Amino acid sequence: MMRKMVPLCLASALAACTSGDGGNQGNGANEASGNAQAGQARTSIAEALAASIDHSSFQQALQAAGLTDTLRGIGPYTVFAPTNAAFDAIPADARSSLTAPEQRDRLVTLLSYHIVPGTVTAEDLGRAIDRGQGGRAQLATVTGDNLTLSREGQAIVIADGAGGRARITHPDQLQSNGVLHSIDAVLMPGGAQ
Amino acid sequence: MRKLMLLAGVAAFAVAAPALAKGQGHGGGGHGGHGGNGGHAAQPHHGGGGQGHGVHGGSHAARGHGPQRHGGQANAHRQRGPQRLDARQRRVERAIEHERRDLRQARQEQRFDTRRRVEQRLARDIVREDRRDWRRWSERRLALRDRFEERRFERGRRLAIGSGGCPPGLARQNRFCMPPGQLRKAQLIGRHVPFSNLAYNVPDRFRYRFSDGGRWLYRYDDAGFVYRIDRRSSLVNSIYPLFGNSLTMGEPLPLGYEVYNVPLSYRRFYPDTSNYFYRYDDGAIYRVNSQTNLVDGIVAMLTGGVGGLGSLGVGDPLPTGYDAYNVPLDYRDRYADTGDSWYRYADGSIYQVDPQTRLIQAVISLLV
Repeated sequence: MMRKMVPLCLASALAACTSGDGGNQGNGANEASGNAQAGQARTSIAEALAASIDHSSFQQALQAAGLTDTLRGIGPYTVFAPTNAAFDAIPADARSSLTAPEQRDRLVTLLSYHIVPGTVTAEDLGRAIDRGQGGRAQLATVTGDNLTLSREGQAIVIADGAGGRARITHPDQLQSNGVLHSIDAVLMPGGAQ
Repeated sequence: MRKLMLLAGVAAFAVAAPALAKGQGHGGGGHGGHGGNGGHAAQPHHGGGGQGHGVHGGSHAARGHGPQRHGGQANAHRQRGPQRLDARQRRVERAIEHERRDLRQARQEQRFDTRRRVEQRLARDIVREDRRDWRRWSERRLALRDRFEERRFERGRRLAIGSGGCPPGLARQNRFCMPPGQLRKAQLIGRHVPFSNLAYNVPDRFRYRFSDGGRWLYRYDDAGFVYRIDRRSSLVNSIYPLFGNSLTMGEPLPLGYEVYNVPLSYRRFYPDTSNYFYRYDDGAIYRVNSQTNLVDGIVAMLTGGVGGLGSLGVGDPLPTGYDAYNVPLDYRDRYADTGDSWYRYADGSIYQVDPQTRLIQAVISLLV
């Protein structure tokens, strides 16, 4: 494997990424980051979730699964964060079983299905959808399973492996180690019930 | 049998040879009948000469030949008799010699044939034996593995039940201590599971590791475990947790993970300290509490461990799932998509991709 070594520290570079629109003119992605919350870019994704009243359920689930440190680390990641309302839509039995200690592996798999490597802004998603066959784009999560994205009017919709759909309600919350997109449903990987 | 037939052929030739020689010696077509008579062949010298005269006499008289001439011929016949006899004997001996030679050759060929057949049979037997050995070896190996796994689960079950769970002290010393969830899974070994009749449903990224074969079926439950099921008995033989196949959150660090194994590019961020160890397994870097020896967090998730972009190199095709540009913001001015090149990020590296062929052209490491 040919590797061009670039003597740069990604972590420090990301930490220095305070403006949220730094250096993406070449791709035109800076327009997307106009929507970003540039002032919050010093916080990590984990800290942003902990501070958000809309994502407390997701935050608790991440903590139970031991994934908080992942989202506090160097990343960068793109996280599709279900809102509390999305968690409330899950049947109570299923929700309580998810947080049981013996189901921790299942919970880790489920939550990892919401995490994508790299920084993918809403504009990046839109461009990929427009370029993709049939108006769809595939996005690989860190579990190795893909999400399918498409447009519904102005909104971007995510189809999961279990046939469910989630809509991006609040895109491009840029953080020091990636980007958060709020979604209105919990994504289920294939094989999950 | 063949030998007897050959000898009989030689004897017949020996009997026929004088008669044939007599017919040739006279040169007369009328002697054909005598030549065929085996009884005359017993007295080739006397009987043959007299008969020759009678016939020839009549014929030559009719043509006006003198008796002297006939007499001369008779004398010549008589003088050539012993020579003819010698010639006949030589011919017979030659014929016998030929027959013997043929017989020797036939015997030799027969020996060769027999040897070849024996060798072929031996070779076949060796191959069969090898195959049997291989089958025996693989069956023995599978049986040993099964026994080992059963013992492991049995021991884990005993320990977990005996200790009432997985206390940190025991966990630090023993990898077989299982939390209650896994213990319940282990108790399914040797039993039927309701989803054993379902179609093959192992998630794509694990199919290379768990694929249905002649003896085993693999079925996935929705809780992150793959069940190995005996095709004949439909009983569960083994259970494998999928995510973090060996390292599991809340469980003790298993044996074999004593050595620091974090990928090079991430080592500066996750060095072992007095409070925490860091270990890589199956697409994630886990944090281990050095006091309790329990895995208590996942600090990084990498795509390379699950067969994603991070596991690929130059010349490999871009996997599915990378339709969207995902380069970190700080690098977008240097690595922006163009008509000639795309850039995608995974596991601390940027991958340059040819948009036409979708093959990776270069890998640029950022974390050094």
